[in-house]
Amino acid sequence: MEILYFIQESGEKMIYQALSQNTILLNESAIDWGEAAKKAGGLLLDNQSIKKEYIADMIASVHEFGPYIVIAPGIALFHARPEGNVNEICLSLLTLEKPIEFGAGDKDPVDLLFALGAVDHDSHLQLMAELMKILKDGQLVERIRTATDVKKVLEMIKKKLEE
Amino acid sequence: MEIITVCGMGFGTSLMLKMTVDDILAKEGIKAEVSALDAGSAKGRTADLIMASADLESALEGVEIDKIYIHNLTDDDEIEKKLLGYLNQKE
Repeated sequence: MEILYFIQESGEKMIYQALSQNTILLNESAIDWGEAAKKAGGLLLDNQSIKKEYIADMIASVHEFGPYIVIAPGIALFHARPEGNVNEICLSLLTLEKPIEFGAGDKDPVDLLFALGAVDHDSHLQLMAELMKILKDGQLVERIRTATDVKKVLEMIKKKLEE
Repeated sequence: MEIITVCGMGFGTSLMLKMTVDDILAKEGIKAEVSALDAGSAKGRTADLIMASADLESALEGVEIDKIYIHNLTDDDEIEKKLLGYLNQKE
């Protein structure tokens, strides 16, 4: 399937609708990546953005394709095929007090994790573009990693996207 | 020229890679069609080049298309260097 490449330059940023006090957990603990997936996915479940099956699917995806969801050193993006288990485009953010291993070589250990829910192949494109803009700013990523105040993280993200 | 960016499911990291590749090609004035696909669909496709996360190397084994593997998907420099290096060598 081909993708129509179109990003709205104006208007409300999609990431503001996704990330909120309810979908960010900072400085948490998780014993392994499976528990981290349950915590990051749990935020989306509590928000009624996904059904619980989606969390199991995100975990199964890592088993199926390996640790390629570790997209950059220390950063993982959990996601799975929607299969009718995603109610709306959604994203959660989880940081860990103690980093965990994915078996991702020198991209391990990971302490900044996202869970993404998409409803189709490309309607979350704008959200991904906004997320990429954040992740490509190394200094900002470092500040998010060590942050303990959700409100401050939301402010940092807003400031970056309005640059 | 046709480039496919690949990930496990076709809408996560492949989409991130497509956005970066589109930006690089636009900046360099290179015309190419870039599509994001899942690993399964990529196997049955023809294209000039596949770009994917290095962790998908084994999933793409046996696909007879030139491939560029990316280590850090948020690193524009790595992606640009590898893509332009490949295109220059092809010329």
